[in-house]
Amino acid sequence: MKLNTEEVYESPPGSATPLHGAVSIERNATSRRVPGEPGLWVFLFLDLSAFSLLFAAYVYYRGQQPDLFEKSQQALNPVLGSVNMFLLITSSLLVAAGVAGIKFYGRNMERAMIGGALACGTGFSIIKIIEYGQKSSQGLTPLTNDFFMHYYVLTGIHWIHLMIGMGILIFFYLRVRASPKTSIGRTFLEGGACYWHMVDLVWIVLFPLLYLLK
Amino acid sequence: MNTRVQLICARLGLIFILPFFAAWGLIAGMIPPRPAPELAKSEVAKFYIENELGVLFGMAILLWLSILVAPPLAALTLQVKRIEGEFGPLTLILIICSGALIVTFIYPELFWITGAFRADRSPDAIMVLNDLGWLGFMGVGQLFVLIQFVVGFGTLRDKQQSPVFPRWFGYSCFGLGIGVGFGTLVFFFHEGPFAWNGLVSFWLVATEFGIWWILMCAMVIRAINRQASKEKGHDKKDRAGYVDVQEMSLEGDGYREDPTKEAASQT
Repeated sequence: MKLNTEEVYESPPGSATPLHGAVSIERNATSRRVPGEPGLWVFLFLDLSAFSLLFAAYVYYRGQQPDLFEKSQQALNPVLGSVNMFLLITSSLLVAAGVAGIKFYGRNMERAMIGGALACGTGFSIIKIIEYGQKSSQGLTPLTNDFFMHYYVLTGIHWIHLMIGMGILIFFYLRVRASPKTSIGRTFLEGGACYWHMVDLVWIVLFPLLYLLK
Repeated sequence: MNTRVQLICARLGLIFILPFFAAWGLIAGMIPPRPAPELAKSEVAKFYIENELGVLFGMAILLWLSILVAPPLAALTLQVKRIEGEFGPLTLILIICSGALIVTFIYPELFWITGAFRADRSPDAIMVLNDLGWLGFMGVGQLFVLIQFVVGFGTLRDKQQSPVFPRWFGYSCFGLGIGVGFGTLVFFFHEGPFAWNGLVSFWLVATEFGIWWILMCAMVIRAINRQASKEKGHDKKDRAGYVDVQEMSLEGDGYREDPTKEAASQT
């Protein structure tokens, strides 16, 4: 689907609203090409393979001790996990919009979008700290039992990925000026966005797997 | 510079990898990873008593094989230097890490061979040596990861018309580096997928180490060949593998003036 027009919001003819023409997205290159660059997907494939291995290990060990895993799972807080899920999905949307060159009343919103994504990532981290803090105060550590080993390692590795992603976003935020031309190459910008989407994707699998799967 | 010797160095890397795993796994008998971290110290000692000769031979071979890590890393460093154009920070990091890396290979092998050296020692002492060996081998991969990341970073920043390494290789450095990084988990767990005999902290780490090593050597060989064909005809001394030590300097890429011009200017 190719957007030919500059504006994504079209009001019905004859009605003029205050927001008419407020939001628009630039379409840059119209040729078909891989987001970021082809090599990037080698990295994403490798990283996702590593995570898949971790998921498979979790499912295998869960099958060996289903009662222990189910009982331990009750210590997790699915509400906090859901909030984290919402935060990451929102942040992915913001990053995608920012990279697509979204404008608000003609003003480039790239920086604001990245800032919003950073805020979401910070929120995720705060909730993660709260979660870990709650559990360790209950005496639940990675060494407690096999379930918590998997829980801490999986969420910990994911969190490290998230923090690396935030580092990349901070770099983008500082380098992008509020002007039509950004000072970061398209490839790097899209690559960073794809990495962020991957981190989001991992949580989308991780959250149900750890918190909800019975 | 000196592409012929560089090629030998890089090919040594490919020669090294199979004997490395063979000596470790088949001769010393330690792959699948044994003795396991959850074993009692009497069982650990039993392994060293029963496999005394295998461990002694395997580790002695491994100690010698470990130095074969230096030449391919030297060739790699020279190719990264072609990206930077000089002995820049990335090149220097590689030099620092490569030297240290060999030491991190050697000491765990030394601990293991010491365990077999006096296998009738107290089981406590044997267990410590075994732990030091395994934790050292699997858990101290940080230098290797830094090497991978530096090569990846350099590759992606390469702005030359024909880059030294392909971009997908740069990305794979990061991807495989993350895999090797999982080794750090061995310090926390005595059993399961994240222990030194685990699916993740041993098998994933060893596999991604092996894949990256072979890939890196292949990429370096490819880069050297392209460098050689670029420099062909420029300097006859190069093709003979000759290096004039006095003319070597830390600046530039070692490209020397045509010796016939030098001789002509002196007459």
